[in-house]
Amino acid sequence: MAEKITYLGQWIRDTFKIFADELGMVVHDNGVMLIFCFAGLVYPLLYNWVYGYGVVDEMPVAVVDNSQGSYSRRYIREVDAAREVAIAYDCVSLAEARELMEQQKVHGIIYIPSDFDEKLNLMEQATVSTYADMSTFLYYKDLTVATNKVMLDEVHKIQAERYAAAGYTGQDATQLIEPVQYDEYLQYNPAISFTMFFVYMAMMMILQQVMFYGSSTLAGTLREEGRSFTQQATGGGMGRIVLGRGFAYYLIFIVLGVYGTLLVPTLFHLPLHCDWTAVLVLLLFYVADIIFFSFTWSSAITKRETVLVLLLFVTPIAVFLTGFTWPESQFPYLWKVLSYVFPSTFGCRAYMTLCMSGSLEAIAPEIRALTIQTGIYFLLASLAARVENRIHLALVK
Amino acid sequence: MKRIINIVQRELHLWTKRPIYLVGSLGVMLATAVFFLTFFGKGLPEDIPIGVVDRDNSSTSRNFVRQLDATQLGRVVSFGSIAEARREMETGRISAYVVIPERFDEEVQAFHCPKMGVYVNAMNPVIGGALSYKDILFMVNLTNGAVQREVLRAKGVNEAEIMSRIQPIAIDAHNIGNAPTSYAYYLCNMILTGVLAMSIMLVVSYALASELKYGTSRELLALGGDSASLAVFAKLIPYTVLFTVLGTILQLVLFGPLHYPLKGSIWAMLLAMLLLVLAYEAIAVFVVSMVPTLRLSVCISALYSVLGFSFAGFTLPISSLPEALQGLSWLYPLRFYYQFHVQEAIFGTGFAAWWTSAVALLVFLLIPLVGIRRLGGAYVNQNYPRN
Repeated sequence: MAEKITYLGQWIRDTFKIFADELGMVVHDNGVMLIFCFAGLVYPLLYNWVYGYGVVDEMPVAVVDNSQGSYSRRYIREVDAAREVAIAYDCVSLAEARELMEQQKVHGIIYIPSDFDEKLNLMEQATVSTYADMSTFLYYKDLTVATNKVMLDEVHKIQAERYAAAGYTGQDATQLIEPVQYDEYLQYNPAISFTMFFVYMAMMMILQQVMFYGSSTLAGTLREEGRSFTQQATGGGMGRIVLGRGFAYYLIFIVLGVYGTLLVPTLFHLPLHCDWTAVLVLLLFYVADIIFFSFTWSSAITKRETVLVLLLFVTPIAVFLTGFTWPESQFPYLWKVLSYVFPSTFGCRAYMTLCMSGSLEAIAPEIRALTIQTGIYFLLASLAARVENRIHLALVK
Repeated sequence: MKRIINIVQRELHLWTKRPIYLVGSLGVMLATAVFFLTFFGKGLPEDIPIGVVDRDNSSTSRNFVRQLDATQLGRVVSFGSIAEARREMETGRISAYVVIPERFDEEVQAFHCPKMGVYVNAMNPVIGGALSYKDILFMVNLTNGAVQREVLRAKGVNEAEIMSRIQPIAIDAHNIGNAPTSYAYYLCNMILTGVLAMSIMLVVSYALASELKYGTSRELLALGGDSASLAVFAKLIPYTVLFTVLGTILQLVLFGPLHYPLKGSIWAMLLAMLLLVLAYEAIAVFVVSMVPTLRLSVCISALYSVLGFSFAGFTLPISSLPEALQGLSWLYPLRFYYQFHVQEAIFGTGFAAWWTSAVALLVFLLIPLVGIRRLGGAYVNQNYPRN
């Protein structure tokens, strides 16, 4: 009995078939499975583990105290008590301390000149010299924060002593020393740890890159074997091909996304100051975007291995274009434009914002950008599929 | 010798036939270098947007805002309410904000010690947060100094003494190996070297495994007189030359016209680069020997080399990684290259300090010996799935 099939019925049937085929191909391709499983499942764990603590505490420093007075000793004691550094060596000369630094036994030197106490007693300005190992910015940050905090503290103490000597004490002295006071709030990341800013970004970036390299590998394979996915449509409609394949990846990447942005961070106690549903909403938009982004750009891939060899270098570039470390306001114009090409630019920013502020309202601009991007990439992906289909048909004839 | 020359010629011929070799090495390095060397601009951020909520709007508070704006680092963005400033900080558009309380001016004059609120987004430890934090604290202390100066002047204290009263201790900071605290100096060198390492892994494993995919491995073996070691050795010569030249150009550009800090000798750095290239080639040979199929070996090379950036130790020092992972960093030649770089380029300590890193890089050259026979077998029998 011949069944009458409506256009819509046929469309749904085609789409479902393409969806099922694509899922089947993903599962049976061990290269793609390796990328999805290893990069999609193991990388999130690994990055959380590597950057788990993310701070260098008690960094070893060397001290050269040529003054040996009460002020210099107090300064050194206070620095040693700071969380960031620990005094590991007491050196007699700067040369000795430098040698320790060259051997990487210490990562900072604090040098107190012989006139330090004398100058302070004479009410002159005394100087402390610091030498930071710049091989890693974290060393520099530790030494700078510790020595400056203690310096400000000491400054206030010394001023208080001097005003006390001049007859001002208590409230009077405070008013003179700190006529303007401040409260500081280091928000979201009070220990200034490395973990937070890198890991949030990495979780979203992994999704995009895994999707791109994985699906391009598969598309490349099909083209190489002369059975491009565009031939699967019975009619001329490319929409069902793009959407059918898209659904297959949507399913996979929503799962990987929930795993990477919710499950793993919770497992590692990374703060998520938002409802899990908010992250899910973001994922629904972001995953759609990365899928059509990947479809569009994979149009140029004709062989399966070439995508990794030729385009893996894009990963570090996309990472920096999210502005996670070098702020967006500092981007040269051209690179700002380039950053709009990647879904990760908006996805990573939105995820970080969400984790800090917890409201969907705050990420409205990013969601809007992701939606526009999704629309553009969907059209481009369909267009590319259409062109490819035409070329293919022409070749067959 | 004749055989080696033949294989090298065959390889060069392949390069002209398939563009992937040159695009994957030269093209990738060129694109990455152009991006990173222009991305960081002068290497120090300028005019970072800092929010100000001025609820006093007096001459004193306006003066504070003006001075904050005039610092090289900061650019002031005014907000009408704290909620607005907070929202902008959450979305990352400003990295810090200051709240100047109502009646600020009056209270300063009356010595009632008004309190400013300094809110910093510390999510970004290096640039946004830490720097604008420093900038604002500097300004607050400067304001304090200004008020004290007025008081001391009124008491007839002379200017030199005023300065030492306001700031009895000053810090004179020296930054070894990166005097201007440039972000570019810190990152570009290692990132570009890391991308080069990635490119070596990918291109070399592609080159070795594509012999299997395209079924040309027997032809290669025949040219090499049926010796897999000789064939692989000869095949890698053009790649070694190509990547060493790329690495050399990279170092000459960085240390030359771009004035990246180099305290020691350029020759030592070039030696380190050569060792790095050889070590990564060795690992690529090993990967292809163990998994002699093109698609899997390229995938594994990619997955392996991406992690190199984290395990080299230039972002987070190795010593502060979890202990179980510290061992994993030994699998990355990049880590030893970085140690070498620190000793030679930053401290200039010479051979005595870097020979251990150099030896570690040389040890990687032994790795291919483990699998070369297996690769030879695969080349002869072609008994692995081609794809």
